[in-house]
Amino acid sequence: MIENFYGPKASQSKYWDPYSQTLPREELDKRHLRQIQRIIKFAYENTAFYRELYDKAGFKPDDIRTWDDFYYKVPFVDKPDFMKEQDERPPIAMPGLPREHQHAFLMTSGTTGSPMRMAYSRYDEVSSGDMYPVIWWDGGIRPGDSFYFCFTFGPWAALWCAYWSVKRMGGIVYSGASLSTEDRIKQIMAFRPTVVLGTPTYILHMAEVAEKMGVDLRQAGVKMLCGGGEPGFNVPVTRQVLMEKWGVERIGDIYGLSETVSACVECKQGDSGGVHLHEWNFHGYAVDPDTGKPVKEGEVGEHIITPYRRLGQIFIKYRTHDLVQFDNHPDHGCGWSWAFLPGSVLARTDFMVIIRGVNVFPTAIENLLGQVPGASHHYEIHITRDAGLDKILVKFEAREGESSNDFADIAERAKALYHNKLSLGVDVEVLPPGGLPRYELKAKRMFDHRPKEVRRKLER
Amino acid sequence: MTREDMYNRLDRIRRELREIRQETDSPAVDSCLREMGVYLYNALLYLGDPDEITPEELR
Repeated sequence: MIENFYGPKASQSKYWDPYSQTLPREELDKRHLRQIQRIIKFAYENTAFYRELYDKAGFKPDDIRTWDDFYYKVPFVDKPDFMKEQDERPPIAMPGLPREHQHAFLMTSGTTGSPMRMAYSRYDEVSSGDMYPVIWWDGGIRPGDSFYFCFTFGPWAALWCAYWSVKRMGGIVYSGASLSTEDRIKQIMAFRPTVVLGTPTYILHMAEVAEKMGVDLRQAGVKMLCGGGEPGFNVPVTRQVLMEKWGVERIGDIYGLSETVSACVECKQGDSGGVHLHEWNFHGYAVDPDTGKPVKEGEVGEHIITPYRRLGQIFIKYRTHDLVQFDNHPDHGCGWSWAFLPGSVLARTDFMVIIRGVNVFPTAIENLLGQVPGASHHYEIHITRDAGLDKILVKFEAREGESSNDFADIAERAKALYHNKLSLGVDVEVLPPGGLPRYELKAKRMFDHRPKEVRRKLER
Repeated sequence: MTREDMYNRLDRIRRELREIRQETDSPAVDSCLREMGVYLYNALLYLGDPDEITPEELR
């Protein structure tokens, strides 16, 4: 007789790992400090970069005994450090393991500059495969369910992590690689996958193409849309539109960086509007991006991340340039003890705009756009500087069927909404449907045209 | 260690893995052990006879 895929007790579990996901905060923090000490020691002993960095900073791994030691003695590392290192000691920066232990060389998507090369060992593959099942298991997805991959398998890590995760949890992969959007829609209607994976922008685009094809995706039987790469899944209005167009009850938002692998996952309490840090694999905290000092719990700061199980390539106190808020004692009903980041990523530090003293987050602009009658969800935000003041231009497409005669009225409605809700003067340009580019991976939403010298610079 | 010794020791590990899988309440742990079981099965195939062609848990 063929046995069940999971044992009798595991198959009844509410959590992917009941022990780690509910461990009390004090215990989690004790583990974090021990793991931080171990990864610092491992990095010092195995990578020339960290050895030189820590020697220059004047400490040895054994000197890191307290949280203050970690916060104030250990230097940050940033993407430019890795780019410089991969040029000087090619092909990979900060490898933690020798070449024979490496398994895959991948790349970042390069949305914020030149792509960074990344090394994944078999250990990284297995720990990466631990990320997505947390969200899937929580959402009732089980072996026998199926996953449609709405992207081409390129050198981008997140796609491989999703694949490793399906392998790990159990599930059927349908690959839409190299197919057109129309063909992917036909496949989805034929295969009826349980989960569709992709970026929110692309999944929304698929819904629009399906409507033009006369296909009702709500009939595909999809239970969950899952992915990341952009804030859309945690922007309430975008989330709502996606759920309606696909007829799904669950969205699974995943936030992370290609470099360090997906670090944060959404729990079943989707209305809580954020993600949890996977505290078994990562340490994370928020700092003032200008001073580098930790901010208080609940305050907005730059996310600093240390993955413990990225041994193929080591990141310790890595600057994400993402602005987040930490709630270290979440109590919204999911039962997870892992830190919660309300709103997921609020903005990029390098794209944060200050208009008359007000911090403007692009996600707020996207969210309000959904409340403008006649506006679609395809938009771009352009930041310029005029006479010493930052200005914002929001370009967005009108919805299908809107007459171009009405574009001026739609623009006025958008301007009024931004003024009322954000107390912000925003310029608006309405384009016909299809007037902006479409992206299969991360959509480019932000365009900063300000002179380099006035863009926000981070202390290193 | 003879091939037979190797086979017997790995077979014992496989049985212990299956016992732990029955007892763990963690899908994360269970999934790791299942992967180990698949690789163990493959190793046993190299060491054993053709009767082992079907994994024990699928018989």
